[in-house]
Order: sequence, then C-alpha cells, then structure tokens
Amino acid sequence: MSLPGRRLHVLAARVCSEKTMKQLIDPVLADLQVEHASAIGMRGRWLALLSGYVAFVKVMLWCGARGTREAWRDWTADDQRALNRTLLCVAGATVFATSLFGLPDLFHLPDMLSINAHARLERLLLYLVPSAVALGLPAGVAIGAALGATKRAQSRRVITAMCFVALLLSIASFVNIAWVVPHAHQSFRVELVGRFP
Amino acid sequence: MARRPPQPPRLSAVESLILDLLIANDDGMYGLQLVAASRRRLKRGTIYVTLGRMEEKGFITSRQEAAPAEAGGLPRRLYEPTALGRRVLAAWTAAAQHFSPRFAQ
Repeated sequence: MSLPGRRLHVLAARVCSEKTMKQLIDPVLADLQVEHASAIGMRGRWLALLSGYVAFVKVMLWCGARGTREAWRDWTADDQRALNRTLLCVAGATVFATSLFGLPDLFHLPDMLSINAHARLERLLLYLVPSAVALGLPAGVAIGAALGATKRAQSRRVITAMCFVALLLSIASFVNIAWVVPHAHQSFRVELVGRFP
Repeated sequence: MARRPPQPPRLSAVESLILDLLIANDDGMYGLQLVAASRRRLKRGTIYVTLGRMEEKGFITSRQEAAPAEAGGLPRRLYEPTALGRRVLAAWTAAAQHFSPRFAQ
C-alpha cells in the first residue's frame, strides 16, 4: 500500500516551485505520513489523515495567493489596465442591474408598510437586497464583461482571469440563492407582519 | 536629503514564540513538535509559512532529517535557531520589558 500524500506530492510538484516544495509542501506531507504511521486505531488514522489534508489545503491556498500576487506583478501594464477596466465595468453593471431589479419592490414598500407601521424601513430594504443581487449579478457580469471587452482585443491572460472571476461570482451567486435569499425572505416577512405564535 | 536609518529586524508574536521554543530545545524541532509544544497557539496549516519566512530573514535554519521513518516516506525538516535569531529575540524581549507599562512604573 502506498503512503498517504504521495499523489498529492506529485500533484503539488507540477504546480509549485522547487523552493515552495522544499519549504512548505514536503514538510506538511511528511508530517501527514508520520502522524498517520504513529496513529493508533482506525479512528486515529482517519483523524491524522483529515488534519494532514486540512493543513495541506491551507498551505496550497497560501501558495495560490502568493502565486497570484507574483503573477500580477509579471503582467504588462496594458493587461492590468484591461482587467481593471473590465472588473470596474462588471461592478458598475452589477450595481446598476441590482438597483434596476430592486426598484419594483421599492415602489411596493409604502403599501407594505401600511400593514405594520412599526416595521423598520432600513431593515426591509436590507432584506430585499439578496433577491435583487440574485437577478442583478448574472446580468451585471455579462453586460460588464461585454462592455470591458469593447475597446480592444483581450489577451489570453485577461480572458483567463475573467473566467476565474466569473467562476467565483457563480459560486457566490449559488451561495446567495441557496442560503442567503431564503433567510432574507423569511426575515422580511417576520419584520413586516411579526412572528406568529 | 537625509538618509533613512537602517530598519531593525522585526519579530512578530508568532515568530517570537517559535524562537522561544527552538531556543528551549537545543536539538532542534520538527514543525509538528513546535505545534504540539505551543499548546495550540501555532497552527499546522500556517506554521511552515512562518518558518519559511523566518528562514528567509535568517532567524532560523533548517535541514532535512537523514532518513525518513518509513521507506518511501518524505523526509521531515528539523529547525534550529541561528545566532541572529537568538540575538533578535533577546533584543525584542528586553525592549518589550522596557516599554511594558508594568515595568515602567
């Protein structure tokens, strides 16, 4: 049976520098192997594996952040400007689209407040934001990316970075729709009509 | 234009703790041993980042163990304080004591 961490070592060696491997990855995986070998019982071995893998993920995330920072320094000024411009367009378009999709709810707020005069307006507005973001974010990313790319042909670096940003925003949108929006809706209802016993 | 005076080496609380532990143990320590000895103040996921930074600053030195415990296993790294690390820790401890309100009275 192969030792735990061997595949991770091969995988990390493909993406990390020799110095990073020596300073960070090798010691973390060596610890994982030592702990796994000295653990007693099946539960102990699983716990050793789990804590070792968590440590490995943390180190890889740190390496990723450092790598991104170093890669950003290597970018040409044109590419940096293009990415900044596209990100600004995305942010602006998202804010605009979110406001636009939130407007219909704002028009209905005075009627809603007549149900309960004690409901706080600022809270109701806050609870409406997640559902407006759920609609505004995809529209904002699509429009912003298109606007950002109008001036000149984008390099492969900028396109890759934008794909990565779009992926992150998709994950954020999923989290928003799956967890934040339902809670916000429930809080909105509770703020407006109160909690029934 | 006036030249800026040279900046003294900086030592964070975590670096100071690591140096403390390493100086207390003359034989050098592995990363996992440092985590265990720190009573949860050092974390497994970040200790090697800190150790790498300290090595670049010249506060500690490291070497690979001669042979891994298991055949085919990865070799661990053993960390030891350098003379500079010892001096910096002594200076920082003295400065902390000097400027601490407890000692100022």
